[in-house]
Amino acid sequence: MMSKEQCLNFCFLSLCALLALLALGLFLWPVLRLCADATALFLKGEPLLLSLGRSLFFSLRLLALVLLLVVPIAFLIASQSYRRAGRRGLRAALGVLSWLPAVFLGFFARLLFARVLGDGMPAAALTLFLFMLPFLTVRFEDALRAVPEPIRRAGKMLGATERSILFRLIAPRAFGALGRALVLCTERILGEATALLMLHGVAPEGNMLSLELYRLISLQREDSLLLALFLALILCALRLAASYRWDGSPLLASAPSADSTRKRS
Amino acid sequence: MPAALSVSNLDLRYGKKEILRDLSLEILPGHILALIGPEEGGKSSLLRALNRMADEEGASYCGNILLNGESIFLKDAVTLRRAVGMVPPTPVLFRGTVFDNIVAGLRLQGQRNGGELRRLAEGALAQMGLTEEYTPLLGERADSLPLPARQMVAFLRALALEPELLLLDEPSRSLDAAGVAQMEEALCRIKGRCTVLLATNTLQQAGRIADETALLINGRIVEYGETAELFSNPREKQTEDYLTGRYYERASLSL
Repeated sequence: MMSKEQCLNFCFLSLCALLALLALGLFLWPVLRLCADATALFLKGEPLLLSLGRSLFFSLRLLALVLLLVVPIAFLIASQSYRRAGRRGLRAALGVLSWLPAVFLGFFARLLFARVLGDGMPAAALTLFLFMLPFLTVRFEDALRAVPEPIRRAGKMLGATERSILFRLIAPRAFGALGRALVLCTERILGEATALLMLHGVAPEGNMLSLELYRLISLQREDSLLLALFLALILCALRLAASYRWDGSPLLASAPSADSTRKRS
Repeated sequence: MPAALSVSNLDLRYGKKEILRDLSLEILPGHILALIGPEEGGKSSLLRALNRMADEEGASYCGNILLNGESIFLKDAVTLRRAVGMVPPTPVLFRGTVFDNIVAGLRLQGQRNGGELRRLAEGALAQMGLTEEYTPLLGERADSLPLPARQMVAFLRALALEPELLLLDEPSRSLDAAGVAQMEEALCRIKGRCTVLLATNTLQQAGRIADETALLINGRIVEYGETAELFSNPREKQTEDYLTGRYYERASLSL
């Protein structure tokens, strides 16, 4: 007999498979045509694929730089704040920051970073860092707080330091949720266009994928659809990966909230 | 080395709520002291004060607790907890195998040497006379064990750290009769190797294994002395009432 949870998972996966088939049917033909057109253009010397490759390389470099900055700092803040009783103020501040419009952030970055650092990658990385820091911190904190409090208390009773409790007991148990937060962060960085557009506009070459798409569309090139599709597929794949429970627990099982685990304890 | 423990004039509060009042007792090294008394009497709070886990819940203290002559409040809490093991009433096991759980405390304290970990785990099993029963289980997943076995693993985990003082908070609450017997036998085996404070609701258990017994009611020690003496010849009327069950009759009548 299947449990209710298994039934739900089965229905969800069936729905996903159906949608995937539908999407495949809808997209496959135009994609094949676009690929053929793009190959023909490339063979004729058109630099579409070159531009795509260049923007992909730029995006990955920027992504790596931003993650390198934002992950340790977000984890550090979350590791300090997840067990504090008076963390409501910090959480509220992070919430407000995470909902700041990208336009505002881009404008701020243009006033500050672009003047100091110029229009290059460091300014873009700092802008995206500011954009992602509250988002990632809140998600990391939620992931750490979802680990039942008795686990932390048991670690303390065994004479463990806070650091060793965090790295040896809490973080391994929160691994799935931390991974999901990281993938969501990656997806948001790759999909972000507004803040970067405000920062230094669209360069003739070396843009994030999202901006490169904008550039190609503004050039009124029909084959830019290929890039749009490529970007959409990457973002969809990342969003799907973020919804997967990496720790092997059922896909649709609701994660116990930190409050409920505290009450139980 | 078993520790000597001395508690003098201890008051413990959570905010405005007073939990322990003017509590004093002494335990000789290697002895087993049973704390008996009704629910909410302060037994668990006293245990959590002794390894300063009560600090985590915002407790404030007045008075002093000396462990081997040194005030525990002058010690670093982490250093103190390395000398004072504790087994909570409900076992909390970590992910991994039974072996991983038994050596979890050692690993958390930075012990990495696999051979040394194995030796200490086997030492804890031998000390409790559980070698035959638990050695085949060492590779099993800890969360697949039944509740009584999980409680024994929690006990072994505390014991593997070779504590000077061991605090047991109703360790037999989740055990069946066989488990209780096994636990008491294990306690008798470790007697003399570490000082033990046992909070229990079972008078017979206190009578069977404790050298001394203290009765705690409403955060105060009503009577404290040798177990045999306290059980056979209680000095206080309240102790007599508690031992004979009349305490609960009166409590229900007063409601």
